[in-house]
Amino acid sequence: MSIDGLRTIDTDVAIIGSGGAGLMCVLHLADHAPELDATVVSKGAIGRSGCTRMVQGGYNAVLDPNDSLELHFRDTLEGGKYLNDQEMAWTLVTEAPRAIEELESRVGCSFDRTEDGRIHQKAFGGQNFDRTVHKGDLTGMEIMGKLLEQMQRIQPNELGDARALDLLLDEDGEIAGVTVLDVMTGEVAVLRARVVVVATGGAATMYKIAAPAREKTGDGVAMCYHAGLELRDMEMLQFHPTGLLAGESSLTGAVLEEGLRGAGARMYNAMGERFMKRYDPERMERSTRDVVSRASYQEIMAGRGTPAGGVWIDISHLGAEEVERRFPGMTARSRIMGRDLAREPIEISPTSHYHMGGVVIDKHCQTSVPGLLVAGEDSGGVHGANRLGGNGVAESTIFGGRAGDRAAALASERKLRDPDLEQVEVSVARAIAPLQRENGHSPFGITRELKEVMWEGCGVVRAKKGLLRARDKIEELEKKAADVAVSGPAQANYAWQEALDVTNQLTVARAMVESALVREESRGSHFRSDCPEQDDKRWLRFIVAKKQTDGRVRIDLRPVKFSRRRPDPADPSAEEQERKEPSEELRRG
Amino acid sequence: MSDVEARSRRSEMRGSEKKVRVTIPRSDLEAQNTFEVDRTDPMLLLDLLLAIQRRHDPSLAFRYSCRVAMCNMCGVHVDGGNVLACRVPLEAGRDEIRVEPMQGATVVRDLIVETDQFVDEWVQDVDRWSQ
Repeated sequence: MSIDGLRTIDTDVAIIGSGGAGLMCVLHLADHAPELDATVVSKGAIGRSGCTRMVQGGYNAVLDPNDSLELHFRDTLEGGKYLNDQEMAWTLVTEAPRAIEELESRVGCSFDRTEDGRIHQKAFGGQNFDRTVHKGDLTGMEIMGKLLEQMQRIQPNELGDARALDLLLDEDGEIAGVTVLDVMTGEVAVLRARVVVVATGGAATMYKIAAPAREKTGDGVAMCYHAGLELRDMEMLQFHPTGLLAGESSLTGAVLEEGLRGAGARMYNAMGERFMKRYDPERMERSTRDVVSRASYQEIMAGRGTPAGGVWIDISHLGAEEVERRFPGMTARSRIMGRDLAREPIEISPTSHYHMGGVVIDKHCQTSVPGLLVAGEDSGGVHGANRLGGNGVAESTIFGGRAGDRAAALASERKLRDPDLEQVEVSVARAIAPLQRENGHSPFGITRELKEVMWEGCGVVRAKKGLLRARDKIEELEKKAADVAVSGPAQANYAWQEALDVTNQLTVARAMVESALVREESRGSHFRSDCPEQDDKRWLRFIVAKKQTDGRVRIDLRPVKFSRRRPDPADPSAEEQERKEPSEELRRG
Repeated sequence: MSDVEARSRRSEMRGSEKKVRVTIPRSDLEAQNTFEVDRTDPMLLLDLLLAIQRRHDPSLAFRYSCRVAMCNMCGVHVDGGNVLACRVPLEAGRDEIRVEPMQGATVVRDLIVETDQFVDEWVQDVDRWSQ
């Protein structure tokens, strides 16, 4: 089948993304239905893009007999400020022990062990038990390295350096496939599939100081939003408190793992004061990421930050050899920039890290579009208002696997469909427009401006004025992005890719700002200086964002179902919340 | 020496610690291949390439992903060896550098090379090992 001479590729299951979620999906699919044809589509190199590989800290799982699923669940809900979808959070917690076993005995990972041979579990922030499984401080490399080898063994079809542009539905509104742009050749193709799994990861890169790899520009969330799917918790963007500050270098924003704080690292402001005693005297530096990020930010804003706009972290008191032994990757990185984590304090700043918000799914990764599944950071609900360190790579691998299980079952029931031709045409035209324009805006300038306005207006601390400014700026930048021009060939043109990336970042930014404007309270990672208190009476509801036909963002509020655990068993207001009307609709721009 | 030459020499000497002259062989022979890039501190080779792409020539093609030496995608050839651009800082006082695509692989465009052959060899190894 050909559409205007466009190459069409047919497959049974298309997996968009090749991180922890995407590759676990491939594995589970091959286990359950080896006869199915799978195609992995990855914007960068397969298995060498995105953030799973960059996970330093670890993977939370209940393994110790003194730990309990109920405790891990409670920690997850308390971290998420009870905004979590409890069924999804419970799925995460109950599947994690099995997933660790699977990673070791099936995938081939080997995690650090104690002297008596048990898996070593280290301390991480915001948890009441040391349950973070790890391999040194390079856990992600272990997981991705082995997952990639498993994928090579399975040999799915590989479309590496190929970016999925838009989801394609057929005339009945069922999933038909995606348009795909080959980054190296500049050609567009149609990939038809019975089932599509979206696992591209979030858009935290749209901030001035950001942690993720360059591919993480919200492609999955943006394409789902444009296809009419609901997004939730979009205002919940996690800032990791300890990102490197390295001037204009690309190293700025790179994460120094939470395990540093778990191991006793101390944080100081420019006055040499351990400022956490004023924000969380009980847990100090081992408080949750949102509390520590906000504390640093407030110190910096109050004029107690370094000239470069940061604070200090110091773990040298453990002794240089111990630091080198426990944190080899980070120590090496600090030395590349001319400092030494093992011997001196390092300058840090909160850094945009992870997006709790994303596409609404059920615990089998299903969306409102039959045949379309979403897994990992692209989805929302597991983590609520704030993610615990160690729960992220757990989510990706667990739900990626579950998406594979579900895709195996669905693919045999579904047929290949013909995508609506108009959608294909619109997708292709939009994608190649920047190349065809003679004059227009530079994509790099748009990215720079977006990163600035998000940092200022929708950052660690927000307020109505800044959010409104961000909203206006995003609208202005969306117009510029629709008029962007890039020169050069179509082949391996990264200015062109930047133009496509920033379009997706703007889509995500828009939904984020609109949601942040609606939530007039502070909860987890969403902090508003103009409404600094958490208001459980009014706000134990999650915010759903959806694209309207006129292009504006529609906002709905839905009550959280406390299906397994109430925020405070003795609190009557929680019951009152449930008895309220099922949803409240607010129209927003 | 002419006035222009003298002036050029003076400005070159004045600015030499603040700028780096970067030479990169381009696939398009008409494209710019020499750039005077402002130094920042710290500055990795990757930062040099990003500065060129963002401020001098957006058509410069190179790969990177994680920028923290975990993905192995930013390989280039410098000073006689293949290195990761995100791992190599520009030495203090250095004001000239030539960055080439990794040796031993086919060039796709500018600094981007085919990596399929490396992956294929690795897959063969995995197969052989798992027999």
